[in-house]
Formats: sequence, structure tokens, C-alpha cells
Amino acid sequence: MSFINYYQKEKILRRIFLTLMFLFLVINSFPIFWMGFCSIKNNNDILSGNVGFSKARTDVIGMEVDEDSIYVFSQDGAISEYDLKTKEAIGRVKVRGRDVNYYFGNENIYLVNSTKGIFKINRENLKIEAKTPNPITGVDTNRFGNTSVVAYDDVVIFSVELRGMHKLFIYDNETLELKRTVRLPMDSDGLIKSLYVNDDSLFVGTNKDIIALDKKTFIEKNKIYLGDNYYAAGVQQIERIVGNEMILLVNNGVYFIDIAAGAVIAKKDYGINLFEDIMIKGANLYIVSPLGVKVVNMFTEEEILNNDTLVRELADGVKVNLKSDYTSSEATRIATNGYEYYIGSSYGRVSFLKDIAAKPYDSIQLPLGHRLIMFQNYADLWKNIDFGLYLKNSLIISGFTMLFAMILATLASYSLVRFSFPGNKFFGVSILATQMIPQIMYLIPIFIMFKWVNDVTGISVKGTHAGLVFIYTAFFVPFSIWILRSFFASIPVELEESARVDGCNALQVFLKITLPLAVPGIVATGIYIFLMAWDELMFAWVLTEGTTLTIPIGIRLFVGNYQNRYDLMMAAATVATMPVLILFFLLQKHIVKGLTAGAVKG
Amino acid sequence: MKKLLTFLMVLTFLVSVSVMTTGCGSSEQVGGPTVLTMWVMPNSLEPINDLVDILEDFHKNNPDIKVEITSLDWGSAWQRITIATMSGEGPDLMQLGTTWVGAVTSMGALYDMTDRVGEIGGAEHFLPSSWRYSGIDGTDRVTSIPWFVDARAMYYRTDVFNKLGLTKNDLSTWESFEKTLAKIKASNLEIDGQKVQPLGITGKNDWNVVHNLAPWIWMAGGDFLTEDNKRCDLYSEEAAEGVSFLVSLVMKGYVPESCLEQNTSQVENGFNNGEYAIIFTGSNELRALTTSEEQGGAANTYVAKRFDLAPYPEGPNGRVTFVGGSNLAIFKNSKKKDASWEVIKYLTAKKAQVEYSKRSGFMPSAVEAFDDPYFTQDKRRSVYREAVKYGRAYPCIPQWAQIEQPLNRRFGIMWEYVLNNKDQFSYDVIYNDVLKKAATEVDKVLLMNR
Amino acid sequence: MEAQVTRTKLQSIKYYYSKYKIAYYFILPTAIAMLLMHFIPIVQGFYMSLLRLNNFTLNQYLGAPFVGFGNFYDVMINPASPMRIGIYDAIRNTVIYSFLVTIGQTAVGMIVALMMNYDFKGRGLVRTLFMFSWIVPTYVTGILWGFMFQQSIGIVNIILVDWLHLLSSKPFWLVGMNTIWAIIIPTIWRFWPFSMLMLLAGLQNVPQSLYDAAKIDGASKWKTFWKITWPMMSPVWMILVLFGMIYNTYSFNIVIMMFGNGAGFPGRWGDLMMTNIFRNSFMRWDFGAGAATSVLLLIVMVILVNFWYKHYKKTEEIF
Repeated sequence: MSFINYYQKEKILRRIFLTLMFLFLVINSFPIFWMGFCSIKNNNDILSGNVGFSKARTDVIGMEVDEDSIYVFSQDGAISEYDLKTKEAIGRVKVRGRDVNYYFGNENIYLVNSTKGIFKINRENLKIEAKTPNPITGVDTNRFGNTSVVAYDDVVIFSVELRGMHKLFIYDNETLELKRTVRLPMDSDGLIKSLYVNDDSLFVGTNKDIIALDKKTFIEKNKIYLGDNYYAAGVQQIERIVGNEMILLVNNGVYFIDIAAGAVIAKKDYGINLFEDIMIKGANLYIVSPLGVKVVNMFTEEEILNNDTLVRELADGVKVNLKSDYTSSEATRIATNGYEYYIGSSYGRVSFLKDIAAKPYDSIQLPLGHRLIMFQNYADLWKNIDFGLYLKNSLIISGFTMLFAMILATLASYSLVRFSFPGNKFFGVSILATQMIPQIMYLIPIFIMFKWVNDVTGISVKGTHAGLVFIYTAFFVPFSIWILRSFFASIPVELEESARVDGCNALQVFLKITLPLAVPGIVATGIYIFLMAWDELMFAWVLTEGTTLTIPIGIRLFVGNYQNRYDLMMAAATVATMPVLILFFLLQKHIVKGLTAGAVKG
Repeated sequence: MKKLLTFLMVLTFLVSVSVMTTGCGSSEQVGGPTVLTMWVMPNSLEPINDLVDILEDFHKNNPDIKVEITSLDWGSAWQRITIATMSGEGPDLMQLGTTWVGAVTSMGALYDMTDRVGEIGGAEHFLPSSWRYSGIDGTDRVTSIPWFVDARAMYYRTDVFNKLGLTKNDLSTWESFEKTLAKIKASNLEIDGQKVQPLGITGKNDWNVVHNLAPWIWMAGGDFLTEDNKRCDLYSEEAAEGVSFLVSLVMKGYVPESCLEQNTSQVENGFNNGEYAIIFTGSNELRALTTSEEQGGAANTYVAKRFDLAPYPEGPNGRVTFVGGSNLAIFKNSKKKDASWEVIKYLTAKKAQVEYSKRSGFMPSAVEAFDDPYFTQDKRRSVYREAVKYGRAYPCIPQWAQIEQPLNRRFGIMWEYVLNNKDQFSYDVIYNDVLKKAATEVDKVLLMNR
Repeated sequence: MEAQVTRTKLQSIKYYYSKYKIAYYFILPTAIAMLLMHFIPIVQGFYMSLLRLNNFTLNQYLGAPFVGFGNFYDVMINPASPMRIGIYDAIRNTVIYSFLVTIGQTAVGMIVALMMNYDFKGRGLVRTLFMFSWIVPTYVTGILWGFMFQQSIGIVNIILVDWLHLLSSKPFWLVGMNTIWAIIIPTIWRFWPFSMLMLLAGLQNVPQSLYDAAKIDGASKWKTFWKITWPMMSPVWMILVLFGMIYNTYSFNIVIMMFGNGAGFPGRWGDLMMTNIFRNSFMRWDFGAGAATSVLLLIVMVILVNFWYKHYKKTEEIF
């Protein structure tokens, strides 16, 4: 009986033991897991303490009305088609991306975003027929701004708001192949904000002016300077009123311009602080602002309606997981089919109104957006700061240190172990003694020494890779010698002696007999050296310059005075761990042997 | 065999050395444009590109000069400038924080520009509070030229104020400011699921520890050093009043505790995300809130459409605006001083001043730049334009950077007290413990370096 | 007679030399590196500690005014010296830190090594996975834990307070007294696998016969451990103690990266000797005092190592 109990007890104990072990493993690995997890999160999620991934916003960025259906375009890249009568969803297509925009053509819808490019979508069945990749690469995706697209005749024209990008990309409208690019005459800090096309010309709205181009040849016809727009919104929307008169929506006001005369007729803001959208119906101008809808007669300036209670109505029952006192759900777009009005707002809601002054009689709510998992961060971190340079520098410096220190340590260690020459003990002890000295004592003197070398020989050492490699080699050799000692000691002297007897001299014995046997130990030591050099911070802080900065210095630029990109910093930290991780995995047996051999032999 | 081996080893060694040394370090081109090296800190989103854009005209007009720009982060810039001074090897032009000018000048590292100042209009061309940093107080040697100014002001949420029936006037004096904070706290507002806290100020983990307290100390009538800059004047009732006013705001719960762990950058982010109703910070925040997210700003946020600026509330001793900034200096060992001076001339002229202000968000140091419509026509920027008139800055002495260390530490400890020993904290503690010790420690530094 | 003696002496010197010629060649590069990069700088460093070397006198370098032991006096004793500000905090923190970290990493390493000693499926894999935390570079550790320890948005507090409800409110880790834990925990996390490996190897060298004998005698597991296992492994953990002592007293990377983005001052309970010296040398530009503090630290370390060595020799004798 007791026999059985014993085994049972053992089994239970074993199970507890394994569970504890597993639990501990999980806790221990948690920080590394967390680092990787945060590296693919959206930065806002990290900054607001969101543990999971938040969902993309589904703000309405446009509505287009057909005979019996309405197409709703939302910020997460979705096009949803709803039946106007039944308010049921008819179709939906989605292209995930940022900075979404679209052009509603007669047969096709061209949907663009800043990371993936242009998608040609059939209006009838909402299927993607063609796509073209984004022509702009090599930029931190957070730097991209508004995209714009227009299509006419046989071309599709694409632009993106990006610093220094003053080009229009012209594509074939069926195959979406790039036909040509057109360079626009803009200032160095000019940004392309919007595009518009009518029968006569192609218009480009920038942050300072509006340019009219010939539709075929893209030669500049006219340009009107709007004054420095200090709110950086630039020309958001261009509409034609009648004849040569056009109206421009610029973040904090509307401009009436005469394009033929090339002059600004008037600038008005109708007492509104912030304009989201405008719509022209007859002589009336409908203005959507966060507070509601205002209707004015453009010619008489008579105010027809000021419905600023609208925003409250929209806010009621908005299906978002927020408990709000005063919500930011704002009206963003307006459209009409002539009979009723549609108001799109943030968080994916479209409200239907019979009369612009009335309350909405119905509404539809778009499906929630996708979860924001940003693998993009791993591409962006190279472009945000010059991380590639830092990685390269760290690799070069650690690699060369490993090489040199291995050579020096192998030679010295062998010598210490095999030859009892006078001064052996002194040398051995002084090697160990150097480990006791705080490294900071070396900083200034070494620096002065570099300066002296520079003065005397003219070779510049400070701020070069070589300087740092010299220092690191000198610092890591003592420890390496200590580790290698036991490896060499474990190689039987008899082998060497028999080789001696055979007539080899000391060097040949070393090269032919000892070295091959000591390779595992040397490899292990080499990896340690690499690990230590990879890790070193103090000297790199002080003695590196612009082109030789290493990772520990560079990685601090992600979070500092000018940006708070924790997501990129975690991604960079993961990347910084990769080389040592790979090395470790490949050679773990050697490392373990190296450590343990050193310990046991003492 | 041995000889071959040694030869190979030596060869590898030499090859690798040469690869490493020639791979880096700048090489001088003989004959060709004069190449200037310039060190700047990240003052704008793309520190190097922005400056290159601004220097485009300069390069056009001076084809024989080329400026190469390197960006250092503020954390390591201090050490690098030290090393540069010691080694004699440094850039031709460098940007110095105003509080560093005294120290670096005393190291004998800067070129004396007193005789040339007339070419750019002399002292009158610049704001008085920033001209103070052109050289050490008490001497009239000019070793650095003011480049831009970091002025602080108050940012507040118009939607919160509208909802509670408050106006800008309610921020005009210390008393009304405190009442406003109380009102905001009492209303327990929650907007967009985000609870709105009245005020956001940072605690010890910030580079602005002393800068945050300075305007309150000055407004109460206190000062850091005595008139002759020889002794520390912090152990005074006025200074205690200033400090305790700010601390009392925290004690009364107007500042959430988590805020005290953060730095200025995080608090600014918090404001942009709707966490605070009021913060005090520099003009770079205005730039951030009016620049689209794509360009690194926060103009697409909810808050960006609902904020306004006001100067610091007026205290017992009047109105004060904290003013800092950066200057440009020429390295003494530079071999291209004349070319460097040309660059300084260009960067302190009105056009470049306004342009750089647009990119960085900091205020210009040249007085005439403020007449540009960029400042006069904008409601918010004109707040700064007015604020710099009351600007006040630290004295420019060589030991200032060293003085900031014990002050940072002492005030950092004070914030820690506030967090951990709330009940025991009082005016008395500030006066007799914090300020007294701070004054003693600063005196030690001053005496040491006599 | 005389000539003969001299000749044999000469001969013997030549014999020594030629026999060991290769040995000298082998240690030559290392010796040069040590001379250049260790010996000369240390001597200069010692000399620097006797000078008043600050931003005013920097250009003169070794020609700066000689103040003898003035720097040492200022650092430790002089109440009027700015150098002394915060040094006792740093000393106290460093002592507590090294002590707790060394004990912590050895204890955790020992426990896990004992667990690893049992054979179970996937043992090799688990051992490799445990080593992960040792691979992570120290500056990444500093950044990562600094990020995790944030009071309101850091995951540590979220787990402790929101999920597990172990604490009622979110404590501050990066501010106040908890800073010392904020630097101890990541250091133990990063270094314990090293201890585990060494201890594991040591464990495997304890002869099974001893264990069998103990079992026959009816000793409990606890007693077995303390009376047999632990003493048998003393060479190993003596070395761990040495490493721990030296490495942790000079610890710099983790602290500077955790707090580096703020004012650079880790707080009264987070400041260590090395960050203190670094700050005083490079932020206050008082290199002479910085060197003096380093020299004092070195002296203390030498004394400690001396004690350790005597103890180590005693344990060596047993074996």
C-alpha cells in the first residue's frame, strides 16, 4: 500500500514541479515577449496605456449618391454600399491603409492610400479589378500625408502630401501602369494637398496656392497665391460655382477665386472656426463644421440656416465604446441626392435627414474597423532615424573587437598556461587586476592619448571605428584570457610533447596540435567578446561621432524631445537583440561549455 | 613558415586598420568650396533637412561655402562639446543652449565676436532677454549670437472653458488661476471617455525641473542669485512663496499624480490627447498642434481644434515669461571663422529667422522678425510676441550649468517628497528644507569655482 | 673560474630566453595593449585625482593646478563641497544594490539549477529558453524595464493592480524609494541565467556517492542541500560572488538607460556610484573630483577582493 502511495506522491510532486517550472519560464520570458508585442502596436495605443490593439477609426471621409444607393467611404479604407430606401447594406470592399482617399468615376472607383497605392474598383460589384503599388518607398510611413486622386479621359492622377514630394504620378486608367511623372513648380516647403479636375483644367491645391494645369500636357496655366496658410491644412477641397468662379475650402475659411483672371475675389469664414466640408446646391453653400451645418446664400450672404444642434443629435446613441459627457463625434461630410440630405460623422455613422433643418430620421452605422497591428514599424524604424548606420557600426566594431581580442587572448592565454617564464605570475595577476578597475577612470586619459596621437602623427583616431576597437580589445582581452586558460589547461600536455619529440618547434605544435583542439573554447570566447562589445555603452557615449555612433546611443533618439515613438523603440530594441540572439542559438553548446569549464576548474 | 605567418598577421592588421580609419572621419578637399561643419541639436522634426532647406539661399549666394550639418541629441551634446573643447578638434559652428554659453566661454573654446557684432546690427537687433546670453554677465565680450528663443506660455482648452463658462480673463492672476483650476476639478469633466485633469506639470524625471519653477519664483519676487551673481538667493520668503504656490496646486489635487513621473514631452502628448485642461510649455507645442500628423505634429487631434494661448498668470511681483533658447558660436580653433561668420549673419537675418521659426516652432531672437505677418496676424503667436517682452532668463555665468545640477537634484527630491509624504509637506518644509539646502549647495558650487 | 661562471650565467640567460622566445612573442601584443590602454591611463588617472581639473583648467590637462589630496577631502569629508552632494546616497545605494543583486541572482540561479538537475522532457529546450534574458543587451534591458515600470501606462502596474489586484493603487517605480527595486529587479533578471549555468555545472560535479550516502543516513532534502551540495559547490559560488561584487558595483548601463531621458538624475534611491561619477565628471565638468571618487572606489574594491581571496584560498584548501 505504501508503495503505491509513494509513487502517487512522486507523480503529484513532479506535476507541481513542472507547473512551477513552466510558470517561472513564462514570467521570466514575459519582458521579452512584451517587447516584441509592443513593437507591433500603434504608438497611440502604447501612450494611452492600451494593453491590446485598438481598432481603426471609421470616420466618414466621403459619400457618393447613386440612383438608389449610397456609397460610404470611411477612414479605415472601406467602401460600403447601402440601399437608399431600405438602408440595408448591399456591398462592401476594404483596402486597409492610412491616409485614404478616393475618386468616384462613372464606372470605376479609384481608392488610394499612402502605403499601398491605387486600387481600381468596379462600381457595380465592388470588386478590385486592378492595383498599382505605391510609387514612393523608403519613407517612414508616419510622414505620409493626404493622398489625392482624380481620373479623367484615360489617365488616373495620383499625388501624396509628403515633404519634398512635388510630383504628380500619371497612370493609365485601365491597367494602372505608370505612364509618366510631372514635376510641379513649388517652393521647397510646398505640399500637395488636393486635386480637382473639371472640363478645362486640372487643379492642384497646395498649402500655399492653387495651380491650374493643362489636362493633356500638364503645363502650368495659372497659379494663384493664397498667402501662407498658417494652419498647414492648405487647400482641402475645390469646387466650381459657375463659369470661371471657383470656391476653395481652406481649413479656416473659403476663398472665392476667378481662375481665368488668376485672382482671389473674396475670403470668407462666415463666423465658423473650422470647416470640414462644403457642398454647393444652387446658390446655396452648405458648410459642415464640427458644430453642425450652416447654409448661406453665396451671393446675398443671407444666412439660411444655422443648425448647430445637429451635433447633439448625431451624438445620441453613437455606437462607440465611450462614455462621454460631451462627445467629439462630429459631422464630417455632407451629401445630397436632391431630396434628402446625408450627413456623415466620425466613428462611422451616416444620418439621413429629410430637410436640412430637421432632425435625422434614420441612420446607419458602419462596421468597426480592423485592429491596428503595425508590422510596418519594422520597416519604419530604419527610416525614422538612421538606424541602419548604427546597426552597421555596432556590427563592425563588435566584429573586429571579437576578431582581434580572440587572436590576442588565444596567444596570451596559451603562453600563460604552457610556459612558466619569469613574469608569468605577475602577468597573470595583473591581467586579473585590471578587472577590478572602474572603467570610468580610463575615459579622459584614453581620450587625451588619442589627441596626442593625432597631434604627433596626424592620424585621426577619435571618432573612428579603429579607436573604439582598440579600446574594446584591450578591455575584453583579460576576461577572455581567463576563460581560455581552462580550455588550454584541459588539453593534455602529452600530445604536445609527443609532437615536440617528432621534431616540431613550439610554433608548429601550437598551430597544428593545440589550436584545432581548442577551437570550441576559442569560439565560445569569441562570442562572449562579441556580447560584451555589443553591450558597451560608456565609451561609445563619449568617443563616437556622427558617422560612428553605435546602437545604444542611437536608440535614444526614438524617445526624446522631438518624438515619443515607443513603438519604434521597442522594434529597434528587438532588432538590436537579434544578432546576439542568432549567435547564441547557433553556438549555444559552445557557450555553455565555455562557461561551465571555467567555473569548474576555477 | 613563421615569417609568412607574421607577415600575414601584420598585413591583416594593417588592412583592417586602414579600412576603419579611412572609412570615417572627414577628409579635407584641397581647392574647392570651403566646407564648414556645424553641430545642431534636434530643434525640429527633421533637424538636418530643415536647416539645409533654410540654408539653400545661403548656398546659392555663397557658392564657395558649403555647410555640413550634424545633429546631436541633447543628452550627449554636453559631453561632445566638452570633448571637442579638450581635444581642440571640433566643428566650426555649434549650437549651444543658452545656459551652456557661460561655461563653454570660460573654457576658452569660443571665438570672440565682439568686434563683428556691429555687422548684424549690434545688441539692438536682438531681444534684450536673449542678448544677455551673448557673453558672460559683467563682461562685454560677445562669444555667442542668439539664434532662437524658447519662450513659455500657458495652453488651455477652449472647449472646457466654454463648457464651464470661463474665459481667458480667468487666467490673469494667481488667484483667478487657482479658482479656475478649482472649478475645472469640481466639474469632473469627461470628454470622449477621457477624464480632463485641470493642470499638467512635470516632476523630477524631466529636463525642465528648474525651468518649470523659475517663472513662479520670479513672479513672487524671488531670484536664484543675488545681483552680483556671487551668492545664491533662493533661501528667501519670496522664492518660497513662488515654489509653494506651484506645489500647493499639486497638493490640492489639480495635478494628477501620474503626471509627476513624466517628462515635458509626455505631458505635451497628454495635452494633445485631451488629458489636461492647462499646461505650461514652449512655442514648439504650438507648432506641433498646428502641424499635420504626417509632418510630425498633432493638428488632426480633437484638441488641436480647441485650444488657445495665454501668458503666465500675474503674480505678486508682476508678469514674467521664462525665456531660454539657443545661440550660435564659432569654435576658437576653427580655421574657417570668416565663412562661419557669414552663416551666422545669414541665420540671424529676418528672413532666415522667420523661416526657422516656422520649422522649429521656437521664437526668433531678432526683434524685427516679430514684425512678420506670421506673428502679427496670428492670434496665438502674437501671445508669444507679447510674452517675450516680459522675458526673463537666468544669469549668464560660467557656473550656471554646474549650478543646475544640485538644483535639479534638490527640486527633484522635493517632488519625490510631494508624492510620497504628502501629509508632511508644507510651506515650512519648502522654505527651511528644500530651499535652504538648495541655496547652501549652490553656494558651494559658486565658492568652489572662484 | 670567474669567466666560466659568467659564461654559464650568460648561457643560462640565453637558454631561458630562447626556450621561451615564443612565449614572449605571444604575450607581446597583449602586453602592448595592456600597457597602452590600461597601465598608462590608470597612472594618469591617479595623477588626475590629485589635480584641480575642471572646465576652467581643462586645456592644461596634466598641467592643471596640483591640489594633492584636496579632491579626496572634498569628496568624502568637506561639507562645503558640491562634489559631496549625493555621494552618500550613491554609496548606500550601490552597497544595497550589489548585495541584493548578488544574492538574488545566485539564489534564483541555485533554485533553477536544482530544478534543472532533474531529468525531464525538454530539459535542454527549457534551459535555452531561460538563457534568453541573458542575451538581451543591458541597454535594452534598461529601456525595456523603464518602459514597463511607468506608473500609469506601464504593464507592471497594470498587471499588479488592474489584473491581479495585488495592490490597491498604482505605485511609482521610477520616482521615490521604489527606484532601488526598479534597478535591482532588471539586473537580477538579466544576470541570473549566468549563475544558473555555472551552478548547474558545479552541481553535476558533486559525486552521486555522497547523495547516496546521505539518503542511506536518512537525511532530509533540505539538510542534504545545506550540508553536502552547497559546500561542495563553494568554488563556483565564490566566483559568482566575486563577479557579482565587481560587476554590480560598477554597474552603469541599466541605470543610465532607464532614467537617461529625463534630467539624468535617477533619484536619491536610484543613483549608483558610476552614474554619480559620470554625472559629476561630465555634467559638472569636475574631472579631478570624478577621478578621486574612482580612486576611492578602486581602493575599496581592492580591499574587498583581498578579503574574498583569503576566504577563497581557505575553501580551495579543503579541496
